[in-house]
Amino acid sequence: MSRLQVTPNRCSGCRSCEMACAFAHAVSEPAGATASLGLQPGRPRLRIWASPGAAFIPMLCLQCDDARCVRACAYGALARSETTGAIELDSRRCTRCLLCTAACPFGNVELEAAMGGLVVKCDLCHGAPACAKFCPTGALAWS
Amino acid sequence: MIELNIDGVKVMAPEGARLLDAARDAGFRVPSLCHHPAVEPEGACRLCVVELRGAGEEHSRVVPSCLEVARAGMTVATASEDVLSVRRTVLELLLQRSPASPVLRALAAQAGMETAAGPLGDAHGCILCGLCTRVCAAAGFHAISTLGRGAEARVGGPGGQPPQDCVGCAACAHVCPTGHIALEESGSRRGIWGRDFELLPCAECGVPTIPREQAERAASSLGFPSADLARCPACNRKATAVTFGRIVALSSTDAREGVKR
Repeated sequence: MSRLQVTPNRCSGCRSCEMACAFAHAVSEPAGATASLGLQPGRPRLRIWASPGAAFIPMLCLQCDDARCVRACAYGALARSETTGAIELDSRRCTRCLLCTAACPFGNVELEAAMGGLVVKCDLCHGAPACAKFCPTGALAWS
Repeated sequence: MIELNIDGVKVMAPEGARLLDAARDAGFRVPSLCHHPAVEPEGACRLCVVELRGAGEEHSRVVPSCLEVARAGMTVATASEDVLSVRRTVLELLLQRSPASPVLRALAAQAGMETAAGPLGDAHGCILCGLCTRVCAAAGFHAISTLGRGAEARVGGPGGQPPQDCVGCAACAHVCPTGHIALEESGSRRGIWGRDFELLPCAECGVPTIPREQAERAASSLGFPSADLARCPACNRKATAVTFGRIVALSSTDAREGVKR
């Protein structure tokens, strides 16, 4: 099974990954929107953290073995994909109780307010992470 | 996988799947109000009826598709005359109860029905489908239930009082198909079922997170550290990044100085 390898020392802080993630998870425009693209970028599910020592840290879901978000969900909406190893959110099962957003000790499960309040987290793009594809330095690598 | 026939199309469905899920997964549109994938189906709203003839059966019958398990060789019609007629009757009855409900009126319009115009009184939208109580029970709270009988039936806390077991998660309001459950949020307060909840302020930045009661319940029943639950996702991420930053700084210093450990 491929893994998303993160090497902070290689990160230049260009944030192409955030952009790639936002477009890979684009959402339908709300009704009545004036723009005519049909889609708009979603909330990026990973962030680059610029630490004071000038190092950049890509922050994204660690797909924990014993994940608190999974344990927190009483509705079975969060489950590991057998094909990619990612913990994926089945938004049809989600009741928006938001316990998962509080349960993740790393802050990697969030509420996407613009999407009418859907919970979002990294899904490894179902096995082809856009962030790794667009990372120019190899700080994020899918192998 | 099993094979069945829906509206003349061959459809594959996983063993044990309910007809409603099998039909929807195959792209057929079947209306429903009380169905939610997070909980077991109950067949309360009756809108998801389909016409079904089992393998080797002579006659067809109209059944709620959420309750029926898909079996090999079934022949299913999602929009036959009988189905549409039953669906219209169901909608008529629901509209008798809640004539002003926008959700019901939209469904009626889709079904080609005329709906009453003019002042309709309260937008009383509860259809007693019980989805809220099922979702509450699935989370282990059992805070709300159906009260009273007949025309007096309604959903609420024990004895019609604000439910003491409610933690304010508002899952019931989010799944309610007619948007009937009143949820009031302003700043760090959340009002639901006659209770007033405080949304815990993030220990770092102060933004409101989840209700205090919900966090306390998670800490005690799931064993999550209260300190983690007391921060918003952004501040939790920041704290993790700072730790990672230290590790990265340490390891690169080690590399430069050739430190062996």
